[in-house]
Amino acid sequence: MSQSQKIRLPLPEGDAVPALSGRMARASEQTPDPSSRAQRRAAEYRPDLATAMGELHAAAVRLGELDPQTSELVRLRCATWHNCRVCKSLRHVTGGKRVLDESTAAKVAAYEDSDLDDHEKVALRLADAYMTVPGRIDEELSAQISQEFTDGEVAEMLLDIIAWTQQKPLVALALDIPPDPAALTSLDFDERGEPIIGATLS
Amino acid sequence: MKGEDVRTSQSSPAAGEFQAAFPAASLEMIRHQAPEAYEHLRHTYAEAYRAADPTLLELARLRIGLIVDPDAPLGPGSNEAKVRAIEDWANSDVYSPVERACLAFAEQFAFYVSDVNDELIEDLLALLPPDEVYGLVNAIYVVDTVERLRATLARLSDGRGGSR
Repeated sequence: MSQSQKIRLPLPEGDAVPALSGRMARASEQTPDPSSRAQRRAAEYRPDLATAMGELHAAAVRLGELDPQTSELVRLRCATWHNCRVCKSLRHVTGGKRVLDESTAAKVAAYEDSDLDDHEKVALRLADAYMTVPGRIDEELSAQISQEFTDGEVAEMLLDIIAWTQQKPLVALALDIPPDPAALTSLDFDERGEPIIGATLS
Repeated sequence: MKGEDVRTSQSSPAAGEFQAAFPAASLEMIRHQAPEAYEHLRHTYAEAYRAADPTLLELARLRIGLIVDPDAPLGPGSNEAKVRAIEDWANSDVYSPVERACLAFAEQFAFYVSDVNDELIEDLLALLPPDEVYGLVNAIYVVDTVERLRATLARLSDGRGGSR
């Protein structure tokens, strides 16, 4: 997919974005990049649904049972599978430090052949099953998931996947514009679970 | 398990031939483990059926349901001909042009979203205004999500036999 792909949907007319909800206004302050601006303009077509999806995303992010490394691996797997330009360009950074180093992040694409541990591979298998044909999850994978994760962690992983895969409508409409097409950009979340897309990473 | 559970608040005449059913019983594990997120999911589902033509959205949901869980039985629908034909919709003459455009998009969205192309969106835009296309695309994400979650939890429940 080209980085310069044209947005497939005419956006609402005008420069001003009207009637931002409180949540969307906060997001606007925290992520003032062109990608987020285009997404927010489009969201004004259906602000109630966009707000509901954003609140669902934030509620998933606020869950805290799953370790951040596994969550970031799953996020990157979703980004890779759906070929989301914006999500692939982001790296979770918290406390000024990347959650995953870049060599570990690179293992997501061919994780079965990597040296990621079984716990991480099972998480990625669950993500793959969810994103492809979850009705084909077999007893072997189900047993692996049961062995590696508690019910709370499974619920959080699934809700994380639901949050990360909000990229799908963006990809479909070519609204997945990376903040910086030439570089990786930091992603963090505030205490409400709202995304903060920040600095370009070296 | 389709066709079960709680009806959403969507009950206007515009709801047409189909009505949305949030599969609450199938998502009980999520409600138990993450009640706040569950309530947001339930609310988002209701908003999806307000944001798009519910008849189109329900057709998309039925098609996506078969893609993500091929062995699941189809639930009942008030227009049985359209429900029965959903798996082979492309070769059926029971669907209107906008229903066909919706199904073509929903199918590609569910199979592999990265292969959604300009033509699929242009076909929708030829029949619906941009705000309705935006609403439909995002609403389809929501029903895609709930169908995937329902299928995942059903298989995990089959395989776990207990919970931790």
